[in-house]
Amino acid sequence: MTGRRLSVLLLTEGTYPYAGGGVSTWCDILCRELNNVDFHVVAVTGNPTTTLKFHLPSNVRSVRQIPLWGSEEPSEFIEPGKPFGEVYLARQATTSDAIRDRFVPVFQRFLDEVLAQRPADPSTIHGLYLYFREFEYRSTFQSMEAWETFLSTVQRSLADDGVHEDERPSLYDVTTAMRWLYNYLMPLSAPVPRTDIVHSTLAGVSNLPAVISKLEYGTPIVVTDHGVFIRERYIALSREKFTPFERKFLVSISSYATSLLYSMADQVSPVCNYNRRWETRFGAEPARIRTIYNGIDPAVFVPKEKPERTRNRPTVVAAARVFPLKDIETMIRSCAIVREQIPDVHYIVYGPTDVDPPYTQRCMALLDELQLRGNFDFPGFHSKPHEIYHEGDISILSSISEGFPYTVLESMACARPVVATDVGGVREALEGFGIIAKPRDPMGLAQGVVELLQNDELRQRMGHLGREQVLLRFRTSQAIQHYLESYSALAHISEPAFGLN
Amino acid sequence: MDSTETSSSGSAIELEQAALDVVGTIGKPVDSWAVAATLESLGYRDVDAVDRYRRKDLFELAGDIFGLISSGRVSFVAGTAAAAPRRRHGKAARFFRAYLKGAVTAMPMLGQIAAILLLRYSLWAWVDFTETQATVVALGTILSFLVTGGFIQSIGREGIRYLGATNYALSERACWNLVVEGTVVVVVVGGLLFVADILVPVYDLRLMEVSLMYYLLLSELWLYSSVANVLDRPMAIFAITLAGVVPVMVVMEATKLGIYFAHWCGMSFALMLMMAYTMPLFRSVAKSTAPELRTTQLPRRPVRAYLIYPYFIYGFFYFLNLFIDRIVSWSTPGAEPPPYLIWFRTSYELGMDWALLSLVLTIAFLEYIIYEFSYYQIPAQKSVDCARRDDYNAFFRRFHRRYLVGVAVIGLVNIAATYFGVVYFRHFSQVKEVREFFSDPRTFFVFYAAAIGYWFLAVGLYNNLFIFTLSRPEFVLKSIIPSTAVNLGVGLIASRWFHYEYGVLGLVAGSATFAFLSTKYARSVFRSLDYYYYSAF
Repeated sequence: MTGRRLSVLLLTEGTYPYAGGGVSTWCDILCRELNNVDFHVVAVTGNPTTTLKFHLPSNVRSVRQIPLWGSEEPSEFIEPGKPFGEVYLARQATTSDAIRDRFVPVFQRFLDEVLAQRPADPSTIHGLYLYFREFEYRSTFQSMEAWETFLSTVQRSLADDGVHEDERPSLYDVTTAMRWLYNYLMPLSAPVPRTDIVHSTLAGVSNLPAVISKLEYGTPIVVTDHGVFIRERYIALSREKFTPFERKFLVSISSYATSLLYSMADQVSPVCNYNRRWETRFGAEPARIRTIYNGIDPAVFVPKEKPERTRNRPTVVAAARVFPLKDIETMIRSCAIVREQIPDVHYIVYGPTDVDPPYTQRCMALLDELQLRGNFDFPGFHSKPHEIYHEGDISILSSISEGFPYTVLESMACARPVVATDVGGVREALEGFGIIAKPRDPMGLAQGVVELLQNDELRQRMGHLGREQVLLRFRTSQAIQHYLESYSALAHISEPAFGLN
Repeated sequence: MDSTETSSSGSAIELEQAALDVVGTIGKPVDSWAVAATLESLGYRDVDAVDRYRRKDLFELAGDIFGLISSGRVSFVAGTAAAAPRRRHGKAARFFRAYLKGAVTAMPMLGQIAAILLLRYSLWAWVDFTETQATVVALGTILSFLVTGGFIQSIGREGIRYLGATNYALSERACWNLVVEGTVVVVVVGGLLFVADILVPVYDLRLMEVSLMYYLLLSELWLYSSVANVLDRPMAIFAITLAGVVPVMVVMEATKLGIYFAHWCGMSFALMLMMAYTMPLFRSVAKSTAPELRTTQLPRRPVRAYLIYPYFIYGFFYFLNLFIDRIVSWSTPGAEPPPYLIWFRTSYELGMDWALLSLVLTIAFLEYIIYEFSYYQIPAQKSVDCARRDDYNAFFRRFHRRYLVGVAVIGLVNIAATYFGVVYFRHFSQVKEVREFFSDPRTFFVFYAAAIGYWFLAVGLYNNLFIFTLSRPEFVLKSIIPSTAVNLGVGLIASRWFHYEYGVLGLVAGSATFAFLSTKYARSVFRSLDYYYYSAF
């Protein structure tokens, strides 16, 4: 089959095109560079929003937003062109009988699979999707039948598991869990467009439409789970104050979705080999895993002199959103240690500070506590990332979880060596061309920073080698070529029909 | 270059230390995956698992650590989710605060009553009104409530809903949209009535113009006041409506332009103050919207209409229910037919206003009850095992019964207090107005009946508060629409069969129906409160 444009359903959550960050950048590059491919984006967001963070290229044919929260009438966003009369009629058709006969059996099966952590049967999710094609989502979830099914299934699963008295859920826990389910399963209420390929950017509940696409149309699935969703989910849930039941429920539904997506995927393409460890354990067949490293454009990220304003001061830059997974607090503590040897050291963190305001406040309080206001700055988001790294002598990354971070590659391309934590695929990019420290270890980070700032020869050598490494292995064109080959092979469409810029 | 090399040993002590690291970070892990993820986030790597712990990889290490923790050999801090102890005020303090808050919402009305008693003028009333003037003003006033009632309720619903979701900008947009839409409807209805009166003269055109002017200004005042209510500013409404009386006095005392013009000046002044107050205030509140929410759009018009129509209908029927007995009574033909289709009866209105005082005092108590309902809701949910929801439902059924009795008793006490409080003024019968007030036994009859009607109404409002809180407006409509029909039917029969003041029996019967039906629906909600609480999203 040749001569026609290939189409890809791109599934995102909390990223492209409504938010910035590494995954969004990756999506933007993918869509922009593969300009002979048509993309249909289904973007799961937190709240409804209309502000695009990216200028969409013309080959992004459609964007459907699915806001999980903050909308009283989700169909407004999920199917914006649909006359409300149709929604109303679907609601009228969603009677108690319809819910009891058509929804409850499949919902029951779904809950059994999730709560008992049994292997997921793809037809269950498909059954839910088919039901929501006919009946209304919100009124189904608000029905007495749905609530009674959930409550009784939870109670049965507790009896089966012999849960300890202290860990039995309260009524509040169960209420909360069912409301979460209403929010998290919302992507199943949206129609899935037919495409040649479905590319999932996160192996979580929000990307289950990939499974639907495969079951409905036989569409091949590619999964690029940048930070390994399930691992990040575990980390995030551990930090939150949930009851044992709430936490277990969220873990169960997340691992249900992850396993289903990995096992159904035709190709799992982690952005670094490190991520394979989790992916194979959650159901990805090793033979179907093909690592595709992120790439950047070395013509954009080029080495330049430091600007006047930072030239006379040892400067460490970072490009990071201020939120817990970036562990900015450890970065701040490392700054305090570095200052003992280099009193005028200056850390500059470029990135939005409004992602997690309480966390940002904690960082600010730590700056005050350590009296670092003169050494550490948060200037906010910078719209031209290629200009960030020149301001510094080196750059730093303190994350406790990463996929294959662009910031490391970008800094390397700008010949600014990186001190980074040993997370995700950082080692695969940086080993031999930067300094790697243990996560949550301010001393390790500080030692790396001091060493690079004080040893000019080492800094310059690593900067030079880093850029060479990018040119050799981490160019955008290489990454894009790999995705193109993958799409082509999976869709059985020969490459000449589409191509690179 | 690598600063992460580790020493190798792999003792049980080190394993226990790693386990302590994990439980110190996350408490008791859900499973071994949680341990693996935590270990990674703590800086443990495969190389550490091999070199230091003699395990194949990090996942094997995680499995062993999870086993260690599960076996109880490593203690953990249980219940990381335990909520911070809530500062609990005493019941008396809660009662005082909430009742006071409820009472404050009645301040604008009480302020107008005080103004008329002390100054002889209020924003739209005057002690020396003739019956013609009172008819004109009463019609304008009633019409303003009927036309804006749905909008007032919708503004409250949409405005507060979006505020609750911290989307202040959307709340602002929703409120102003409704104010504009309400204004359009007010103008259209006014225009249609005016044209209708030209085509089929029911009122003298001059009186119709005056009445419509009152209607227009009051309608706008209600619309903007309801926005101030969304912003929870009852004292501002009180102050502004009171300030509006000043121009009334000035015009009346300093000019000969008459009471109509004076009232229009006062209402326009109050309206401008209300606009000048609410608009910048809402603007500044909206500015604190989180950046990611700022671009959120309101749903399409049909969707909005669908979402708010029950509240709109309720608002209309609420005011219709409140005023329909007056319309019925004042339109009763008698020995002396009224000069116009609807004719103001002073003694009837005085009885109604007197009884209304008792309702206001009782409604303040409802504020306290709904506060208590919310106060106990989450702790009760959290304290009940999911298998014992009947206990939870039973707790709130008792709550509903207890406070139902409370509302009934407080309502009766308030009726008695209002009766004796007003009757006390008989001691001042040397004052002409006081003498006139007590001169007509119909005032007493209307008071007795209306007080009972309002007592039932308070019970209905009590039930509906819960139903509204649980986002089930359909139940409220099922009680208010039939009760309005009963109000109309009984009022018509009684007023035409006996005498005009018997129209008030419509209010009694309608409100009794409202109380009965709403209690029935509230009880059914409380029987399955676990479900209704869950589905109130």
